[in-house]
Amino acid sequence: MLSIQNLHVEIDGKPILRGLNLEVGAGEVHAIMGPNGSGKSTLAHVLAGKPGYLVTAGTVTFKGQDLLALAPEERAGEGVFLAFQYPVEIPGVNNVYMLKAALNGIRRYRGLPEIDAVEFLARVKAKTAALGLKEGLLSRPVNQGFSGGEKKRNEIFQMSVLEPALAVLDETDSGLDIDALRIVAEGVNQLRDAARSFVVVTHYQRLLDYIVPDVVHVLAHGQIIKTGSRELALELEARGYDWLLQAVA
Amino acid sequence: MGILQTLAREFAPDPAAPLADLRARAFAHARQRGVPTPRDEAWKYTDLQGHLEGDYLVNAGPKRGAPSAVPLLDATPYRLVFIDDTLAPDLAAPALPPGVRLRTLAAVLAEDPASLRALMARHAGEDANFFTALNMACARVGVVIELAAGCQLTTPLLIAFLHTGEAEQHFSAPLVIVNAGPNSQLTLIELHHGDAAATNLSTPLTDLTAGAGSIIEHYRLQLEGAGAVHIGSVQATIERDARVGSHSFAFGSKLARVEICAKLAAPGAAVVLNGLFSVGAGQHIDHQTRIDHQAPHTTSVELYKGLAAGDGRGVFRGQVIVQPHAQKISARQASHNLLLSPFAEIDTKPELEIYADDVTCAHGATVGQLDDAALFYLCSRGIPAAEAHALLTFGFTQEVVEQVSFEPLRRLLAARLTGSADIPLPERIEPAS
Repeated sequence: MLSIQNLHVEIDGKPILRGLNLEVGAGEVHAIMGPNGSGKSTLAHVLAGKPGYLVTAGTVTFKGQDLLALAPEERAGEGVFLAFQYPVEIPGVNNVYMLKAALNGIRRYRGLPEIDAVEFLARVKAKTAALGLKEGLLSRPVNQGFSGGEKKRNEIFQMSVLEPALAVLDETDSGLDIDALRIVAEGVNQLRDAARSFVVVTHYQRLLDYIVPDVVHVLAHGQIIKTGSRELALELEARGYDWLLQAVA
Repeated sequence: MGILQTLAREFAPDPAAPLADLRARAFAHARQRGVPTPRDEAWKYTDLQGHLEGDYLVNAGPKRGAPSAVPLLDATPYRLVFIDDTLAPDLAAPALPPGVRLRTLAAVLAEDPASLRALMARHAGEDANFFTALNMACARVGVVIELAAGCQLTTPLLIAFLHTGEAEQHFSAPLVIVNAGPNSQLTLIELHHGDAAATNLSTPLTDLTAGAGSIIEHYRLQLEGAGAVHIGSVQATIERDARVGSHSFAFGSKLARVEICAKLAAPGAAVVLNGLFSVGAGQHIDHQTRIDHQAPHTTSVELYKGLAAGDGRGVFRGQVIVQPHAQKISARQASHNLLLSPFAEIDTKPELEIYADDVTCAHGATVGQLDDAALFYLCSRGIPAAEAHALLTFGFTQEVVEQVSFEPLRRLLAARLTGSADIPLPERIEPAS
């Protein structure tokens, strides 16, 4: 589904990713862990197409296509979704309207007719209830006046309405208390199926108690330095990152 | 040839005509003042040079074209429509409820010209500016609206001035007079609309008097044609415990300027100035507002938002004056502007003159650009870049648009701002009473 080969990325002339390789198959959940500044968020941003990053070498192939050649909205059309670490507040733009515009943008990209208003509302209502979001938040401007936890839940809510093929979760667990974490993880788990893949970027293994990954990678100095099973995350929790970094150095 | 020369040629008041003395005096005053130039502080950012040079037709008589699709006509049962300065009886409203008296200016000039003397003397007095004096000298088209004490008309009354491309280069000076009696209520929509090909020069004047305890909601919608010049004025006098909501929406014309003055004349008077302008390539739109707190315990709340694309230019100047004895007043002003192109320009200038010491005043002015992080956020959700731009621009204007209580007008504004009529409108904010 997703194949990253030898990816090199710079910001303002400063190399951040230096030869990253990653293969994510359909239906798999991959966790990307690593110390601060290792390039985890850069990877998430580059996959979604955030401006400001310069890819100097390497390829990213998604469902056989060159992902890097696509605009952010085209990537969404292909099925890529990024849950932001810091969701953006958009004054004056109604949450549900934004979501409908997004869904219809994706549908148009795929040559499908716009969604029926009744069907859309039914879908929104069901997902709202499943994520324990207050209905009042739906008609508010996007993320404006939301608490930190509400913003993260709103990201997962958007994801569950848009039903992406590849969801990249950028530190979705940061700033969440344990109840919110459980709700967010439940939202992700409900979407897990044989066709949908997840890249879960996190600093802490705590999230992985709830979203159990198939593969765990450790990212440091812009490269994947170790890949293992779920047990690797537990080991990192117990021992920290230093032993790994020293072993590589 | 320019407007003054044209008028000097055409302007020969019949000494027997009503108000001929005042007309002549107003015209002399306008000539003496002359066309304003950027040397005049109030015209610093708006240069009329080259914009009033047409060989204008003045009082061209009953020749009117057929206007293209005009918004709001279907949504307003009460209306009076002028097409190329000619009353369109076929588009007129049904009878208004008792207590509302609506007469054309022509009828008032014929039947009761003396009733206009005080108003004319006021607007063509020594300190009158060029364009209000010009309006006083020339106005033949317009309406006089009077509300009896306690009369409430909350269904909007539409007064429309439409300009077609078929007319030759027209000069028109519409006059709208509103007298709201004590505790009355009126919602008025003043529409200035031009077809794409219209090249008229319009200098409308609106005079609002809000009697004690009355409420006037005034929506001014400027949708003139791309070749038009529009220089308008709204003068409101607000009496004890009365409230005026002035909403100015300006989208059209190549050069437009609106001056909105609110005099808070007695304690308890309140004004809300709400405005939105959007300029595109080749356009210049200037708003000048002046709030005069003449009495203690008066309130003003002002919010203007501006959008500029292409090489469009926007201007906002907001004067707030607090007279020495006007203690315990509250004045809030905000001007927020968005540049949508590197070639666009918006100049915003708050001017507060406060001569009382126990007052609450706040003001803020910003000029910014669309937020890249928000654009990326929307695009990452699958919204195409152009639509994301439109959505953010619309979001920026929401604070102004949501203050419009008349839904068809809110829809019209939303559609203009997004290019789509399919926008769920936010819940309306009820004005504080």
